[in-house]
Amino acid sequence: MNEHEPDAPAASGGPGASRPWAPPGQPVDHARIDELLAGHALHALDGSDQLEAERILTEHLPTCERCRGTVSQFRAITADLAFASRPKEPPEMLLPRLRMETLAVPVDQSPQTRPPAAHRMSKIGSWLSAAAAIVLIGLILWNAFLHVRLSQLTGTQSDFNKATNVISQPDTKRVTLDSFHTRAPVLFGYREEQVVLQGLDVEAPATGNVYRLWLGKDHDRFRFVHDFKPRGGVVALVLDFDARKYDRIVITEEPESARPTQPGSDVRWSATLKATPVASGSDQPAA
Amino acid sequence: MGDREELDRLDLELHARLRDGDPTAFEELYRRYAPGAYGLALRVTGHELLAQEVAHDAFLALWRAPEAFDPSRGPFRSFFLSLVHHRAVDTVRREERLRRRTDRAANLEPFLGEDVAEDVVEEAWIASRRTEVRKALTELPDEQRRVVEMAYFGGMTQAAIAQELRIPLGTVKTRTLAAMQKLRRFLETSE
Repeated sequence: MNEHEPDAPAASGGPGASRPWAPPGQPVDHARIDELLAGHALHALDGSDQLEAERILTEHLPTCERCRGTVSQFRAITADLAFASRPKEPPEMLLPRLRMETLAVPVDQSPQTRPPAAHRMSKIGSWLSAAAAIVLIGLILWNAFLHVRLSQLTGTQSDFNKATNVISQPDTKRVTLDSFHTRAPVLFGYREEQVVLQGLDVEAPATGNVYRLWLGKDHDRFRFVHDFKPRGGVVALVLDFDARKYDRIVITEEPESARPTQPGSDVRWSATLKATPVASGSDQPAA
Repeated sequence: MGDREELDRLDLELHARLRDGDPTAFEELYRRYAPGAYGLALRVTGHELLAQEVAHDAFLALWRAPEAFDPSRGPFRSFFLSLVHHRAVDTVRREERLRRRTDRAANLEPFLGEDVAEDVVEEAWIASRRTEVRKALTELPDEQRRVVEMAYFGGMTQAAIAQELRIPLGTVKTRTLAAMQKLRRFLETSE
């Protein structure tokens, strides 16, 4: 096939270009139609070419069996092209997220195809039980997740997903931390031998400072748990630590060089926990 | 199981159940098509988070309006992967300013050196078709394969391709049509 060199005005479909299909009885420019249909199948047209292709599809195709066949073949090719990309398992939280959202969005069905309400509720009920553990917080988390900046490192996103997994567990207790300094949401979760801290849009501490996580009980006895700094505004920590015997969480901002003996006065976030009696055991934090 | 007819029959069955609002059918379709959809979206967008959003939107659209698939117009997988591709391309064009040229170049690396599927279990027919499509692409002349890849996997319009390659728009169109016609012949004979 000869290539266009240079571009022919008619092929560009400009304002003055003639239509490639003609009135009845006159020859049709199928070569040009094929070019437009090929570009359309690849979703690669814009401007006047796109408009031209759409008019071919709506005005010419109904009367032209040849072009209907061409469209069908090109569609099959573009569908096949999808197979040239490497398949990859999506992030594991995608399906739970879809489960939550499909619970809220019923299938758009015509009355004729809609099943009886009781049958439908039964099906939805089976999903509710599976998703109950995450429904309460999932929407909040995922709404926040969507705002993770595109420029962030993959590792941060991976940590965030891990934190989400832990915080979504049915036995995890969750507390939203209060702050007088920032509106950035920080969520603390704890379960047997594990704590998780998750936040978005958290501003970095001042240069030379870190945030310090403390857990306290009986009002004034605090234990240092971990230092951290947000990465790109994201906090996603999962620590092996049993927080169930503590009744308060405090996050302070302190000089990184200061020894973590007791919480400093610059409290950034805090919340009350509901302490539960547990057997004594190891609660050394380990990231 | 693995032949195309059986795959199509099961897809139709799942789609019929999906129209009845059966969430287990949705999950089964997700299991079958999520890796392909996510892989395609990742290839086009070049970004994991964007790819995840594309796959999410496509599956949610499928749940919301399953009647958008018309079995008389082709197999379900063609419909769904086209849906994913369109959304991925739209996303790329919206997010174009976020993509660096080097990302695009990486996206258009040849297929031959890649593992076909890492840790992904596929229907036998799909795995076989994947190999055939890759082979068909490699048999195209370089200049024709390039425009198809830039359009399909790069999400570029023909006008943008012409600008990028510094060739007339008409040449892009001609190469695209020639490539599509060759692919049709290659893939028809391998079916």
